[in-house]
Amino acid sequence: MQLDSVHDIQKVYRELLQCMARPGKIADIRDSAAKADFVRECHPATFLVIQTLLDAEVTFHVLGERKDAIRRKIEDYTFAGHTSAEDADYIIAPAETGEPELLEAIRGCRAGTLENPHQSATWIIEAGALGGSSDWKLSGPGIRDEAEAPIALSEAFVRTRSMKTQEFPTGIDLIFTDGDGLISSIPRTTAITAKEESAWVM
Amino acid sequence: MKAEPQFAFLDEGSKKEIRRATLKAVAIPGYQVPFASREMPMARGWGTGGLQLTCSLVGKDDVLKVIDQGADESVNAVSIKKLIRATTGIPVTERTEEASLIQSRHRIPEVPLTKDQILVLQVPMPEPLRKYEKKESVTKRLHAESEYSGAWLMLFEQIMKYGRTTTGADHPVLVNGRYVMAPSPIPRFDNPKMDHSEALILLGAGREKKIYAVPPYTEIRSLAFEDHPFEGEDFSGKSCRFCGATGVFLDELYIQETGMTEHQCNDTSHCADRLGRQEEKEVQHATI
Repeated sequence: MQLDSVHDIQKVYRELLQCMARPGKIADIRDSAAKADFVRECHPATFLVIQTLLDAEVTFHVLGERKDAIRRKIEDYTFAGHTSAEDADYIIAPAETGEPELLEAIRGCRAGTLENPHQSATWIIEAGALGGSSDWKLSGPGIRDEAEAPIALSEAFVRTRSMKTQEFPTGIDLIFTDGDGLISSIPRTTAITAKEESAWVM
Repeated sequence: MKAEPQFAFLDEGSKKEIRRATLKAVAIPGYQVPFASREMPMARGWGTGGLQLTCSLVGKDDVLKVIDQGADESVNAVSIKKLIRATTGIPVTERTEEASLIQSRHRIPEVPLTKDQILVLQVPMPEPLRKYEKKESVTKRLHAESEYSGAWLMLFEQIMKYGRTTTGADHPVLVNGRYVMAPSPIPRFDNPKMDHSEALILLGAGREKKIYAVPPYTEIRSLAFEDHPFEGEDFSGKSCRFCGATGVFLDELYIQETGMTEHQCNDTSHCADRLGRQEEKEVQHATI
């Protein structure tokens, strides 16, 4: 079946919104992702999130080895402008992105200002598989008591992300996608702490 | 040939822009995200912000409820329902439990909302600091610096003049310990319903071009002083003249014939629901 640019995108948006509102929640956009079978460059779920958010009014940046192919695909379908990681509204980290490259881009990307915290980068990160066990738990707005981190996160990643979000309201919001059509999110308000410690201090 | 209207009225580009702003709003609870605010077939100030949010959210599987000051049948609520129905074909309902999307003007329903529902509130004046600061550039800086002494001073002056805060509706709240936010003109009675709400709450101001949000399970504290704690409207000893409900928000009515004041439920669907159940009980237990 063909991907419906009105109804499939609306469904993806509603799931994405609930993910952003309930950090750690894993949402299923498999049915819509299955229709995006013309996408070979990245996960169909990644492509759907990009289709939901990007257009000519925003800019993006792609990391990783296959960045040129993905970039072309995004430009063809959304007309969004490609720019550097420091200036981009949306940064896409495909599955094979190396951690050093990822962390460097997180350190350098836009986090907004105190007056305009919304002028920050939103990350779309491809993960191996969502829903596995992790050493991290989440707390903050949108979470009753505590939630499980949706994916395994490295300590370096958590530390870099925490540095970027320590001065609320500035910070970055993360969207995770996987190859099975699952999505999840960790916005800037979420505190990520190690499971064994009650309060993780840097 | 008659052209089919676009699903949910707005073009996809406009929806995309509203959706981007909404996601940022959810990620920064209480912060007012600017958005382009499209022209709607309704005058600004009549809920165009809420309507645009609803249009960006609604899908084929939704069930919509629209309330205006607690009433499902008022002009504003009916015309919004008509527009959404005509452009999407989705069913509308008056029962809070049945709705997946609830757009409301100035009330949060009496029936507790669930995690599967989204509440959209219409906001005339999103800036809680506007009463004492006219310039947007200044209020933006005040928010950036968390400089809220003006908001506190406003309440302090009310207490000095009248012995209590006189906010009536739209009593400012502190979101997640960071942003002072206008909860839209809901009565003070409804403020506590926002605190650690199960449902996601989105607020849209069309004329002022702002979208902001309260995610679920987020701390919402109404501004108050230690020696002047926050109080909702008090209806103790009063009940609805139709369904007899207590502990709900009541409208006060002056009855000309008797010269007395009486009270009735403000949330009309909640009242009708209660009446229906009472009648059912009466019929079931009837003895002839």
